Amino acid sequence: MNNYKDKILGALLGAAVGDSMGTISEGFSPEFLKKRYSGYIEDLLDPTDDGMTVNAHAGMVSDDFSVAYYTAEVMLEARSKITPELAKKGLLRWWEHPEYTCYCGPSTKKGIMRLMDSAGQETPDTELMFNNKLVTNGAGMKAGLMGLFNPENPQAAVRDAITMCSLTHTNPLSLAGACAAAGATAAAFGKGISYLELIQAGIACAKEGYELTAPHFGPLAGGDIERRIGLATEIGLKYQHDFEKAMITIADTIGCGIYAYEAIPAAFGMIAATKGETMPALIMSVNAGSDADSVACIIGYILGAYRGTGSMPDKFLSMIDTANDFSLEHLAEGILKIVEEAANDK
Amino acid sequence: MTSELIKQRTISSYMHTVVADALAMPFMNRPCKILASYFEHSGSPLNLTQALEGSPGEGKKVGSVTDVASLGSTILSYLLRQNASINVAGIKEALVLWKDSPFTSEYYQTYAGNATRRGIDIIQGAYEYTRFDKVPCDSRRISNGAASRAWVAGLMNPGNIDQAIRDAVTMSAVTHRNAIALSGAAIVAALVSSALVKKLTAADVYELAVSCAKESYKYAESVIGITSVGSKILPRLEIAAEIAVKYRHDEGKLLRDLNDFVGFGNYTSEVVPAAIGIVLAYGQDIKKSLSIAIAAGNNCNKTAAIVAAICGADADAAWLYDQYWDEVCQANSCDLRGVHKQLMEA
Repeated sequence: MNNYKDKILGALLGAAVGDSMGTISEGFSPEFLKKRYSGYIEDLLDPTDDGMTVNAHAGMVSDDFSVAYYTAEVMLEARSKITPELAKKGLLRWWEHPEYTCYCGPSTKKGIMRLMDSAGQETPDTELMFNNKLVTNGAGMKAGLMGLFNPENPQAAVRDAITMCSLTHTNPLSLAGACAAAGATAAAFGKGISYLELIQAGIACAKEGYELTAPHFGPLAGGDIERRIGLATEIGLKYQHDFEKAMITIADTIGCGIYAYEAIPAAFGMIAATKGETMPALIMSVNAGSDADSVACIIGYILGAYRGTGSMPDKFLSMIDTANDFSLEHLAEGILKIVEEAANDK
Repeated sequence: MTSELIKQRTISSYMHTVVADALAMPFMNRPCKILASYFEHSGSPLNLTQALEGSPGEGKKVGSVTDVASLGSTILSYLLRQNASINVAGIKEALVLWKDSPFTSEYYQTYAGNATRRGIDIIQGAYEYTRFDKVPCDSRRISNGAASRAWVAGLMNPGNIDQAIRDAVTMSAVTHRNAIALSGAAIVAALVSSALVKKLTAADVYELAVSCAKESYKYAESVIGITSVGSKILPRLEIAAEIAVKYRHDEGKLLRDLNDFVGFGNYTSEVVPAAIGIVLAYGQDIKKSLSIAIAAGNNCNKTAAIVAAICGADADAAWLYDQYWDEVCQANSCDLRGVHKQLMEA
């Protein structure tokens, strides 16, 4: 498990960096970004005041990474892998941080309101039975964390991702996306694994996640996560030689929007396009705009774990820690301890 | 083609669109997988029936239409009454009329999407601007509301494709200032305009849709002056066409792949290419193409209306008169018979 620590820290850093860089470009088009920045965004930058960010500065993350950060924090305090109770506690702790919760998406907000209600009286759900607007990527953006608690064990990561994410995302498509992200992150710890095998793990885990959750949660309409990851990967492989073409084709064809069946397949397509290289994939997702912070965060977990901290510039760790008052290294050590204790228990 | 025949085709297109909306209304939002087993037990989708539990139209009369036919008819009727071509002031007045009239306000209340509501609020000075309105790219008005009523611009311009495109953009930019949404509207208008004056082959439909997707996007962007964020229509159209060719003899697989890869959701880049995919595969048989569009669920009222507006121009309307038209007219408070009469007298 010697190299696990660097991989865990790499994943946390990759996800935080992806989120922070993507926060700058979220809501913009690739063409607009290229013009505004006279090229690609490749660094942690201060956001402009006409974007989606609120009072942020270089290195600050948004909801994408922070919700996982606070969930990890409560797991470390409990010295435990995820449980429904810890998932709930993590969400509620995150909810105490308005600097991050201001980015909260519709499914997460609905889930938290439900959790807060459950302390008092249940309120009847008056929404539509099939509200397809809830098939969002909020589960996928945070689920990579569960891969870190289950290195080299994608099946366990799938189960934990469902436990973590089903409080807020009660539909099989969002959860399939979460399982793809978590499973690929767990697979990234394997020795000698190729980036294509990472993608295959993501596809297999999306399928497993869908099958595990479909009997329990009402299905919602939307594109197929597993098959769209396959299509995105095809596009990525086809344009490996042309960064710009790959980015635009994935953004235009698959989409990098808020729906799980766009953002999650796009992340895998970009991993394929960049041969699983951390920074090129992060830069591609950030400069594709739209829901860039979520796509980049998902990529950051997977490739940060795959390539480790050395695949990103040294300065990023201190920038992220300082901007958010985090200690990613402390978090990584705590996660490793839980992983080791779980292994010893076996 | 004589002007009398063009008039007949215009009326046929209109009636098919209205009836398609009413036929699809009960199945809105449901995933196609669930509807597949529903229709296995309950027969053809081409029956007027009660809205399924939990769908937006639950509790409405059998034969009720949605925003698609009610707003489209209101706009069409308003313009015919004024003896006017499509113009911004007229569209604004028709939108407000649709929202506030006692005969149509229930359709607004039940079905109007965010972009349409926002557009009407702006017209009425009731919109509260937020910081997101400062973002110089648009990702929030990519929805399919504009495309779903753009058949009006087609009906107003039989055979004049260029004018139909310009009118679709003029008409739609009031609510959907997003080049992707406007381009989708332009494609629908162009196809309807063309279908009114000639029998379209699949090759005609594909060529016109592709050329219009390319041209209208640029035109729309120049009209609204901001770039748009999101998955694009052209690449999804190409995927839809591939699926249509592959599964032109297998309705089940056509529907599955259009859902999985293209989508029937609320983005314009889903419904417009998916509807055209159905037209490409089964456009010569309106009953079959409408059945598929309705069985798609999700935003099936919009998919079905687009399919019907294009294919309906060339279809024998007898089955509509016999089975559905009277019942649909009786079920609705908006004056569908009046619009029909206006078209007859135009």
